[in-house]
Amino acid sequence: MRAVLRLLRSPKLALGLVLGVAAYSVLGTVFPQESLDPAKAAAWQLAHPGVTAVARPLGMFAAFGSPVFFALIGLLTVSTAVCAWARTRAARRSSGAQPVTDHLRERLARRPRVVAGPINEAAHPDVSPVGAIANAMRKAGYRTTIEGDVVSATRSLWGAWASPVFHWLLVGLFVVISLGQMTRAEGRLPIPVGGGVIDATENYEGPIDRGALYPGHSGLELRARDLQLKTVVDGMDRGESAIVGLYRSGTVLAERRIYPNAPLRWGALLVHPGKWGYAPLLAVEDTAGEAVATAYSYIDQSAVTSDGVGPGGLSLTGGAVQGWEVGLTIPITGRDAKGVPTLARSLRVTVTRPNGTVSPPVLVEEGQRIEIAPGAWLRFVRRGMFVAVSVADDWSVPWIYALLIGASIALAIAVFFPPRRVWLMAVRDGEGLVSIHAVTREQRGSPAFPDQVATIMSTALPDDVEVRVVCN
Amino acid sequence: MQLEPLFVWAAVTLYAAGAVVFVVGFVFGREIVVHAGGWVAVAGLVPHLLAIGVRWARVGHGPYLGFFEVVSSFALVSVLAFALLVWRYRSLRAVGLVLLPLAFLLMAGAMLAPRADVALTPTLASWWLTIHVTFAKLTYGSFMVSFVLALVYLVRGRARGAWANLLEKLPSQAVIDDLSFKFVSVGFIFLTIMIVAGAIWANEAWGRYWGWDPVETWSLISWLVYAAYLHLRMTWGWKGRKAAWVAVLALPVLVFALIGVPLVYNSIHGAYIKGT
Repeated sequence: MRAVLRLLRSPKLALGLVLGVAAYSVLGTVFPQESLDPAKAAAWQLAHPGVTAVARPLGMFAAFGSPVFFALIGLLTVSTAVCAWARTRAARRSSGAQPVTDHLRERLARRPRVVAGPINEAAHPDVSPVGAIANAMRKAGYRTTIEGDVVSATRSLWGAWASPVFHWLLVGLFVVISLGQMTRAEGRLPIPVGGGVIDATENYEGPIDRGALYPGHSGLELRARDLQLKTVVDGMDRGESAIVGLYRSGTVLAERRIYPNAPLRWGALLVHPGKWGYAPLLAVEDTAGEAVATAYSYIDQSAVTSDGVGPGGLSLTGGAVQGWEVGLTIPITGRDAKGVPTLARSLRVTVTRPNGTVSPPVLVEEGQRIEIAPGAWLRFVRRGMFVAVSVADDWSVPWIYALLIGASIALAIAVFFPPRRVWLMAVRDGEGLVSIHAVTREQRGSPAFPDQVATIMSTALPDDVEVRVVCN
Repeated sequence: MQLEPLFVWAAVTLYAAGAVVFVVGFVFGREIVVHAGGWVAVAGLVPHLLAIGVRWARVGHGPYLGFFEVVSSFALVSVLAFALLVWRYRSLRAVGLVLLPLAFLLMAGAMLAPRADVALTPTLASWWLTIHVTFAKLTYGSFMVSFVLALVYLVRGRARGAWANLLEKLPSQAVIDDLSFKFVSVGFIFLTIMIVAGAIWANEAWGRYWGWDPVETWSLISWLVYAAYLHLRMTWGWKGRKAAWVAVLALPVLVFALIGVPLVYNSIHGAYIKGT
């Protein structure tokens, strides 16, 4: 166990892991990633079968979700935690009072870093050199204490905690990001404008990016209204936007107009604008006209072909037509001067039965219905629009922000406020001359620190007293 | 008359002239010529800032979209870094031997790129863009200075004869080494803030704080490389030549992340340098 801890505490391991993650990340950018561009990744693999045969088993096409990457990050997290613990113990030692030892006294006497003097005490009877320097150190922001004949001046001792805090926050970041990724979900939810949908798996369009431990969707209702194709904010057109609200049992929890960089936020949910399009409402009715089931079909407005806008689709529910597929296209009646298509008020409808037979396309006007099977009618209830929003459910985001900001602050403190200590002692030669010896210690070992101490000492002493930095 | 091209040409001319005069003065040991060269190059900041201002007023955003704007702003940062460094540490004038010609080359390279206006898209219209890009520039400036100081350290260590005489007026190697480390430390903070701001902005704009986009990944790689430098320095006690070599070798990683990756890869970050 000790050997394991020793290994984990090893700076070599830490450095190796940092560079290992860097090198692995380089590989992750050399091979096209399936998560970023599946088509490009597939094409690349077809074009390079030899390399793919080696790279694929190593997970190179999903590098940042591969076991190798997780192992590297996991080890780095553990190594960082062990290092953070060691730094915490070191900070406890270095931030506290350090008694004046005989070794320090000897060093002050024989190997000082800064020397002021010699001062002729008879010529400067009113000057207490050590006292004057201690005062000057206090004015420079140092805290001074006296232990016998040695004055200790310290500054920013609390800065010793910055490095362990930074490393602990990094550990926290690794843990929170990992937990967040395992419990988050993100997907695209189409919402009819003027209506609402429940945040539930069955209402999402396309695949949902879901972590292994995702507990489930919120069950809240999302409603959309007032779709604008042009949204001017601060003098700039932000594109399409709609007012989207989150509701629980009819009560609004949060609502706002969403557009790029202006998402809707509530709890762990973040709702971003996505595409928009047409959402005709269809109903399956019986012969008497009673609606058996209603549903929206979502047709992307950008899916324009020579035939029209579409196709959209719908799986029917209810009665004898359960599971039948309806294909929808909105015919184009013409184009305006800018080439923007003018859409008909009808739908072109095809019906695919479970046995695979497809009915010929039929034009259905708004409000009309067609018989698709004996006793089963499909009504085009009304036209409509939809907005498809991206819903991300991730509780970890604010924690990640807090940890990142905290780590940045801790890093800045570690850089700008390193702990500093100065010890001062008067050394008399027995003939009325006294020199002030100083030993300096700055956590970063900056060669400029002794010069700074020498400058402070100079300001405290008469002009004719020499102050010099000694190269030991 | 279009003012922006005039100002751009004035800036690149002054950078070129300043760099040449500076280097010639340095090589021939003429202090006054070095001084003049430095001032001429710094004077180029005036028309450069005016060019940026005129363009900003026209396109409605700062110099961070499209190859021309991005590389031009890096040239500005290089000269600004030279000016601030020499103002603070007069004896470090020698960094101009690298920074001033670099600024000219960057500006000249930028001028070879299309200079068509790139409109701000709704996705980019956010305060986070300003924060993210500002820290990107500060990051580049800090690491560029640390790179130059490390280079000066290495060259001086091996300089003989006339070059050694030229470089002897610089502060001691220990001070140069310490300064290079300080600029890496500060640059690391800026890089961290740049990445954090980018992640927060990505979540606001795209609904995910990290997507392993090539630009994001290479920013992380740069962060890890400089973290390794700090580890080697603080934990292993690497100073002097070893640390200087790491600082020199680390910069190309960052430059590739900031400029190379968007050109090489298809990326959602591509707009900022390809302008599309």
